[in-house]
Amino acid sequence: MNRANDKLNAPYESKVFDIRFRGTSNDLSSVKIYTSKNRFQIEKQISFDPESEPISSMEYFAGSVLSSILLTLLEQSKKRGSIIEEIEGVLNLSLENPLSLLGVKGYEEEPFISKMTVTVYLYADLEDKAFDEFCLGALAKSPIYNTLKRSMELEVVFKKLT
Amino acid sequence: MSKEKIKVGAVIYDPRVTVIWGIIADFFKEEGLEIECVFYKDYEGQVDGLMNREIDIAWNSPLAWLDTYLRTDGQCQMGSMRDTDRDRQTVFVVRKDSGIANLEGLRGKTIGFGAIDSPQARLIPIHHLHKKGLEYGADYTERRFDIGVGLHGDHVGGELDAMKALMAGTVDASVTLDLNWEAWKKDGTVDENQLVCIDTTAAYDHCIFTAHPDFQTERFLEWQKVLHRMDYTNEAHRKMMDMEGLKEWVEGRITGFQQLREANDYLKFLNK
Repeated sequence: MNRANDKLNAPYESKVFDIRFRGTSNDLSSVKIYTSKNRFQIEKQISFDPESEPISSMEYFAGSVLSSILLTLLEQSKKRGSIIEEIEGVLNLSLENPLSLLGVKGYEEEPFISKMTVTVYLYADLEDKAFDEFCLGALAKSPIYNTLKRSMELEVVFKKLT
Repeated sequence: MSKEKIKVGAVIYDPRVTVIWGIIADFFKEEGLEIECVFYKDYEGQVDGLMNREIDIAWNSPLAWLDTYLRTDGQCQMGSMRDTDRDRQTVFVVRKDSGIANLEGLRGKTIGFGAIDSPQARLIPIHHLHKKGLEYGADYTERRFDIGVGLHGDHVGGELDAMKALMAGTVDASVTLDLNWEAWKKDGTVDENQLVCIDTTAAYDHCIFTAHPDFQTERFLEWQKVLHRMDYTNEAHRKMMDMEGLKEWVEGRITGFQQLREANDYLKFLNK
C-alpha cells in the first residue's frame, strides 16, 4: 500500500494549529485579553516611562520573542539529556519613528520595529561545531522566530560560556 | 473665565521627554486647571503653532522666544522659566598643551561650535568673539557640529562632538554651556588635566514660557501661579523636575536675552 500523499489526504488539523484570542475593553481605555484559561489586562501599546509598572503590548511582544527562543533551546536540551547547564538571554529592540506614535507634529512616518537582536549566553558541554548545530537546530523549532525572520531584521547570536 | 483646556506646546526629540509633560498635565488637572500638551518636531513649527493659535503657551528656547518676539512685534507675553535657565554662560575651552591662553590666541584658529541654531553653542559665543574683536567669517574658522538642527541646541550632541573634536585635536577650541562643562568634568567625559577654560561669555538666560499676545493675561498669570506650586519635595514633582533640570519655577525675564538679540543682529540669523 502506498503511503498517504500529504497534499491530498492530510487533515487540516495535522498541518495547522489554530488559536483564538478574544480582547475586550469595558472602560474603553485598557484591553483585557482572554486566553483559553487565563486573562490579562494591557493599558498601553508602549510606555516611554522606565518607571511604568503595567506591562505594555511592546513588553509582552519582546518578552514573547525572547522567551520563545530560550524555551526552544531548553526544550531541545531536555530531549538530548539536558545538555544546557546555564542560559541567559538579552533582547535589544529598535522602534523607529516613536515620535509619530506620540502625535508629535512634524513626524508622520509609521512607527515600526526595525530591528531586534537576541543574544543568548549558554553554558553547554559541547564542542564548538556541535554547539552551533544544537543552537541553530533548536532555533529552527521556534515558530515565533521563524515567523519574524521572514518579516524583519532579527538576529540571534549565541555565545558559549566556558 | 474660560474653562477650556489651556494648550501648551513643547518641542520633543526624545519620547521619554513626554513623561515630563504627562506629570505636568496630571499636576495641573489636580489643581483644577487642565492643560492639553501639543508636541512639535522643532521650534520653528512650535512658533508657527503659537502664531496660528494651535497653542496658547509655548515652552520656548531662547531663540524661539526671540523668533516669537520678532514675529509679534514684541507683543508676546513672557512667562516663567526654570531656576537653572537664569544666568547661564558659555565657556571657551582649549587643550592645555596648545599654548592658547585667551581669546586673542584663537585668531586664525579653528573653533568647534554646536548646531547652527544653538544659542549657547554658536550664536552667543560668536557674538562674544565679535565683542572681543574676532570677526565671524574672517578671524577664525568655524567648524560646526550640526546635531539636531531645529532644536536650538536642546540636543547636547553637537556640543559633545565639538568637545570630542577638541580632545582629538581636530579643532583648536570648542564652546559649550557651563552646565555641560561642569557635568562632563564631573563624570569624566572630559579630562580636566588636558582641557582648560580660557574665557566665558557674560551671563544670559535660557528657556522661557511664552504666550500668544491674544491669550488672556489673567489666565496666563493663573496658569503660572499653579505652575509655581510645583514642589521639589513632592516625589512626583521631583521626578519631573529632575528630568527637566530644575529645583523650582521662577519668574521669567527678557533682560537675559539681550546677548542673543545682539547675536541675531550681528549674524542676521532670523531675517524678520
